[in-house]
Amino acid sequence: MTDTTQTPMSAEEKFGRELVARTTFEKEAVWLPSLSVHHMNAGQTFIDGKTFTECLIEGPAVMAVMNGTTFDSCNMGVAENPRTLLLQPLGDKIAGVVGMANCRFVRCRFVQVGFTGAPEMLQQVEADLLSARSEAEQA
Amino acid sequence: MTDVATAPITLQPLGPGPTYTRVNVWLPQLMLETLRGGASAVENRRFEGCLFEGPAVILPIEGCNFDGCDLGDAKGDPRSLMLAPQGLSRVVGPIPFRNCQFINCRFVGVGFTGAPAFLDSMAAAIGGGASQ
Repeated sequence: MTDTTQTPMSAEEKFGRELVARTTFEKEAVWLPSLSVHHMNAGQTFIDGKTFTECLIEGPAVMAVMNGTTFDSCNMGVAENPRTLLLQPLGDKIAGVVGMANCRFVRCRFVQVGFTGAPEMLQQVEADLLSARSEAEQA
Repeated sequence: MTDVATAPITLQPLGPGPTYTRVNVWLPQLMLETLRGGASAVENRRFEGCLFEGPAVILPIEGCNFDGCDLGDAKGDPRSLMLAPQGLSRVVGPIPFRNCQFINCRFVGVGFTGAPAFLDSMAAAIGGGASQ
């Protein structure tokens, strides 16, 4: 018997589902708040297991850097002091952020994106930022 | 053939206000409209009975009041809603507000950041069962 009660999927819902299903993004602009909302609509509280290559990652957003997320040759944003890109969570939970686990960013550029996470993660991101700046100055 | 991967998402514009009453405000959209209007912070607005949705972190710079607001599910710890900026003078990623009034608003999926004194007072207000 045909189920006539099921409404057809809207174009926006179809777009969202396809976006969530993707695991690779290459040479495209990614609006982080939108990507996050589509994942939340799909029941995923964080973004997991995606590779972004040469993408422009745009905010405004604060990214929670979770386990397995790496940054390879990325431009993290305009900052004389790398610490301006970092926020420290004050509680055990973090509200308002875009969680990203097991994601790989390769040669991406970040605009209006801050970063947060566990203390050791913040220290590592800060060290990476200082290292990247030092390399850029020497080049 | 339609390229669904790049299909635009259409949103009803929030507009410049300055007063918003019982409106659903998606914070990234509000900031995007603000930037397109040439400003770097959301300024001189009054929000009454609005629902604010993230993901977003709010940075009240100056002159902002939260009156009778539900700031979100703190999961038993008011400081779970807060993040401390690590830079001394500026921070990247949050949405800055200046001279904005939030009256009886509700915040979902929203964090707050700012100077230590602001975060302390906000935590005390939430912990005391009332909003700042």
